[in-house]
Amino acid sequence: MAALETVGQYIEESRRLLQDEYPPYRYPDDDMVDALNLGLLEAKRLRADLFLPLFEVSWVDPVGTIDTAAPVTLDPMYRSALVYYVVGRMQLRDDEPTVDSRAGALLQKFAAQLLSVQG
Amino acid sequence: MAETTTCSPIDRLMQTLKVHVPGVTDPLLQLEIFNVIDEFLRRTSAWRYRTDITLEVNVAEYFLATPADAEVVRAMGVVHNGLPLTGRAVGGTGSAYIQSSLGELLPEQTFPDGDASYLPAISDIQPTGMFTYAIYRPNYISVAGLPDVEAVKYPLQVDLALTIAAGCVECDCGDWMLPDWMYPMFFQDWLDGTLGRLYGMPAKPWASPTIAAYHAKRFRNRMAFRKQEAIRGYAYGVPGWRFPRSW
Repeated sequence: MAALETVGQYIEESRRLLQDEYPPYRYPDDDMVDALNLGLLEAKRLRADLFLPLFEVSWVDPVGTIDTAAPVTLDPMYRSALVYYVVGRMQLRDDEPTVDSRAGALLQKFAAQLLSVQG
Repeated sequence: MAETTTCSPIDRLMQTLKVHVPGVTDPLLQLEIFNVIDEFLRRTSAWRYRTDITLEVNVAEYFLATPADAEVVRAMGVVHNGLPLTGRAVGGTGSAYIQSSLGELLPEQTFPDGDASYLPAISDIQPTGMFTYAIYRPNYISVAGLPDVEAVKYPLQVDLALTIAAGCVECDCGDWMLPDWMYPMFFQDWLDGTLGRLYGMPAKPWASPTIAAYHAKRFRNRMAFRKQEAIRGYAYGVPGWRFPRSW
């Protein structure tokens, strides 16, 4: 199981849920990195305390070759929530294999895990 | 059976809080514990520190040296040659010493809104002895009347109330150089204070205004008790000392 410490591990785990593990990929790496960056910004909006003490947000450059070894700094308790955000955001797009309700459920689960114990 | 590990004094507090507050992170715990300890020490004067100041002829102001990572809250008392000195009121006369937080700002040195019109860092450069840096520099003490040759034979014995320094918020250890005896003695107090703050946060998994009110009230009650206890030197049944003593 991925420890969800690097960009590559987030992409790998997200692809597993998206059933998109073998090239050619339906969802390109740079799109997933964009989603990851947005997810971190959303996490900061909802839970600024996760970014103590300096409130710095990891940001990965989606242009060019993706640095899959780049670390993503987030408390381990909330890493799976970030995966749900990436997967949900990927499935928001209007393509054949996705369902809108699933995308919405995943994005809601992301917020719920950050804001409630039940999540 | 779990392995025995070396614990830091704050571990018990961290462990208890993590159980009570699901989803909380270590940096947030450390921040709120710091805030609670700071409020507790400022309110109760529970961290007492005594230091001697060597007087110099014709020198009125002296720096209050404190332990590492500590800040002065207030001077609880000053003794010179066995005699307790009284604090000087703002603009008062016939006094013996001023802890700088009691100093005065002259109206002509302030803007209409009350802010000082000079740089705080240089505001103590006053050859006249006028006390102008009060609100910025509580770590100085000013002696009313310049010490003479006879006075400098004896040190000023200053009893200070301290708190933890703000710069310690980013300290990784979380121990903040507090005396070890405080952690077990004030454990319940700091636990209640931290729980009150954490449960009172909006939009957190653990947020609960009802439980926050309960713990915050307990914390306030404990601070009131500890304030009286600290004045009496943590001894039961001892009356608080006041000057002048009525004998």
